[in-house]
Parts: sequence; structure tokens; C-alpha cells
Amino acid sequence: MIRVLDPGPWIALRDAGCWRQSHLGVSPGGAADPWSHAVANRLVGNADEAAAYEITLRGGRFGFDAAARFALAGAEFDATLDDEPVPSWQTVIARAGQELKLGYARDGARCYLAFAADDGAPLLRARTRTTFTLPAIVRVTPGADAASFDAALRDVFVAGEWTVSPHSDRHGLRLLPAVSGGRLRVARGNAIDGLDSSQGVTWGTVQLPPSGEPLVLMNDQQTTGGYPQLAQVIIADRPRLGQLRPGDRLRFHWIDPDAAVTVLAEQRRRLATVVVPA
Amino acid sequence: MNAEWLRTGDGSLLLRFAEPGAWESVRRLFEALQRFEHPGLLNLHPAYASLLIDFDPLLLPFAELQCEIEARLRLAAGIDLPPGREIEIPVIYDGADLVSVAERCSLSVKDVIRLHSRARYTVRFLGFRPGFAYLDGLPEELVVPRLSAPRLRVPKGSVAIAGRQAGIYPEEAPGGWRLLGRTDVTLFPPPLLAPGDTVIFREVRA
Repeated sequence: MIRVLDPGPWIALRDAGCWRQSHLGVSPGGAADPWSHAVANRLVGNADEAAAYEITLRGGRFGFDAAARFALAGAEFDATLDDEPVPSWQTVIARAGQELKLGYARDGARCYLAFAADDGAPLLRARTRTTFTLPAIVRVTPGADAASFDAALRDVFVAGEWTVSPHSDRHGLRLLPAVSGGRLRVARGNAIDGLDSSQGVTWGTVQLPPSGEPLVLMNDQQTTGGYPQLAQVIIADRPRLGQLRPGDRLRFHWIDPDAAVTVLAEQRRRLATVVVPA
Repeated sequence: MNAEWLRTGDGSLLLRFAEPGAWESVRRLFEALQRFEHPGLLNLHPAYASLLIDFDPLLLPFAELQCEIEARLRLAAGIDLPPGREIEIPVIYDGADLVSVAERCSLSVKDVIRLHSRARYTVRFLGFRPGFAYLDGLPEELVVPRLSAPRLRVPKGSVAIAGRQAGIYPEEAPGGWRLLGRTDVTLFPPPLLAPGDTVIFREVRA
């Protein structure tokens, strides 16, 4: 139905990840921006977990062997179908032989291309589209080792702006202070690691190595780690992490776990009603 | 089994065990929770003295998870842990840090190899990368801190040490452990090693 003619530098088929394997050292993987991934799938009538192409920063070319419906959601890549602009966040019908081309990400880092056979079902559009405002606000709860850092450090962490370093990928985002003097000073020597130095880490864990440069773990993360854990990004803000690209700025905001659950419930309610007839 | 409960996120809970034999407690609770089939229970990350639980707080609310864990903590004490196997790993000792480790430990290279390959190691848990086993049992003479700046690429099969830990890189990865040698044994997939297994390194010639 759909063929990759030119994959571009970073393209992969992603589903909602595989779980219950971290005790073997296997991280979930899956779409880095689960919100856009799910919306793209809904627009073509797929289950939220269905595989869709994740396209990062630079697009590629796709050919259709047969009529198909597809949808793009996430960052804007200036897509064209046989050189005609195609909108994101809605169902598009492609005829056999047409070619879909994606340019460079204009905002955000990733878009999702979901596709299905054209079964004649009504066309759909998303009621909202993601807007990429910077600095991104990322909400965090105190991490496993938050209490081992002094209050002043925790304040500096949320007071300042951070920049996503070029050495960032689906394993993790490395952060640098956006202004000089924003560095976190970590009092920790070159200790001898015992077996108890490592503990579980997950998608959104913010580790603070002795360098003072926070590391936000993404969905291809390692499953255990030895650096102290300062914070944990709330589940509802994982899509935001997946759209940050090198050079982008972000800020952290403390929130408590119960409030984070309320935010997540609201996000799920929005997802359930996001797709309407075009 | 007394655990410290840390609700580290809206979908994560860390249980820490400070008691002697913490490792056994982690393993027992892990086994008890492995039998808990629930779509809201997403991942279990056992470590040496802690268990991180990832869950979906809408499918499995925290209060419900809490009750489940409390019930399983009571059950866990009675769980029989599977007996470990003994696994021999052939090693070519030509690692990039072999000489510097010998110097730091005031030993000859021969002594480093002898100490490393005569010890018996216990797999405490798997983590970090697919199939990576954290090994306990490194001789005291070989305890050195990890590299101050990690390598961007540690080759697959590297046999390495860091602090009181020993391990084998199942795939190429960045890492700060000190490299003593290499093996061509496949560690993953499927996972070759499991918690409770005994590992012995045997020196082979290149």
C-alpha cells in the first residue's frame, strides 16, 4: 500500500512500545510523542497503538501502490502529495501511484505518518493541533533522590531556562543552562560504585550527574542507572519531550503526583474526543 | 520485608529495601508482582536494593496498586526463588584498561587476570541494556572507580568492571566501566543470564 522511496535520515515504524520487559534491560521504545502518534492513527481509523512512521527533523518520500488513507500529526514538515500541499491533522486520500514528500521540520522534532487502506469511511480532522511554544513548560514531580539535594539546588532547577544539547536522542535529552550561572552545583566526589548505586529509571526520569547538567531520559532509555534522580517528568508531558530538538529551550515546573494524574485524565478525555468528521 | 515507599511520579513508585538481604526481598517481591497480570502494570525494574514499578495511574490507580503490593509483600516471603545455574564465560583478556587497572591496583596484569577469572560472581539483576547482568563478587583487590569520562563506544562483548561491580556489554554502548577483555558469547536475545545465576570467567587465548 505504502512504500518508502527515500527514508530520510531518521525514520522508523513505531507503535506504543513494548512493556513488562524492563527487568531484562529492555526499554519500551515506541513513539517518542505518543499524543501525535495516537491522533494520526485515529484519523485513519487505526487503533492508538498501531504502527506509524515516526519522522524526525527531516522527511523523506513515500509512494502509494494502491489507494490509501493517511494522516500526518506532530511537527509541521510542509508535506506535499504530487507537489500539492497536504494539511496535517486530518485524513487525506492518496490514489495509486501518488507520491508523498516531506520537507524539514518547521517546528517541533517529529511527525507521525499513519496509514490504512481506503475503505470509504468518512474523512476526519483533529479538533486541536499541537502548538509548539518555547520555552516548553515541562511539569515534574520530585524524583527518587530529590531529598538528597539541597532546597537551593531544587529551586535553581526550576528557576532557570534549559537548552537541549545537540547530544540528545531517543535515549535522553541532555540539558545545558540557557544562561551562564544557571549551572547546578552538585556536591559529589568520584565515589566507588557499589551494586546498590544503580536503581530503576524510566521514561521522563531526570538524572543529575556530577557535571550538573541534567539528563532527561526518553523512551529508548536504559532501564537502570547510577546517577541521582532529581525529578520525574509527568506522563502527560512526555509528548512535549518528544518534540524538543537541539537548541530548544525549556523550563521545569514542580507539581505533585495527584495533580499530575488529574492532568493525565484530562489529556485522555481530550484524546477520546479529538477526532471529528472533516 | 520492610520497604521504604517513594511515589516518584504519577506513574512510578520506588520501593527501597534497607534491611540485610535486601536483594532477596527485591527478588521475591518481583516474582510476586510478575504474577500480577494487569494492563495498568507496565514495568518492573528490580535492582540490588530497590524495585521501581511503572504503572498507568488511570488503569491502575495508586491506591489500588498500593493494596496489591501490600498483599504481595505478605505473600512474597513464602516464595521459592528458582535455583541459579552456573555459566562459564570464555574471555580473551586484552581490554583497553587492563594495564591501567593493574597499575592502579599495584598488581601485575597476570594478577588482575588471575583474580578476575578465579572469582565466582552472582547475577544480582539485569538492567541498563538488554541482557546486561550486574555481577556481584569482584575481589576487593580489583575495586577501582569508573572512568571519570565515559567512552562514547564500548564494543559488544566487553568484559568490564566498575567499583564493586562486574559485567559484560551485550551490545555496543557508551559506558564508563573499565575494560579488561572480551567474549564472543551472545548475551541477548534471549537473555543468557538471570538473577541468581553464578558466572565464572575462564581465560582463553586470542
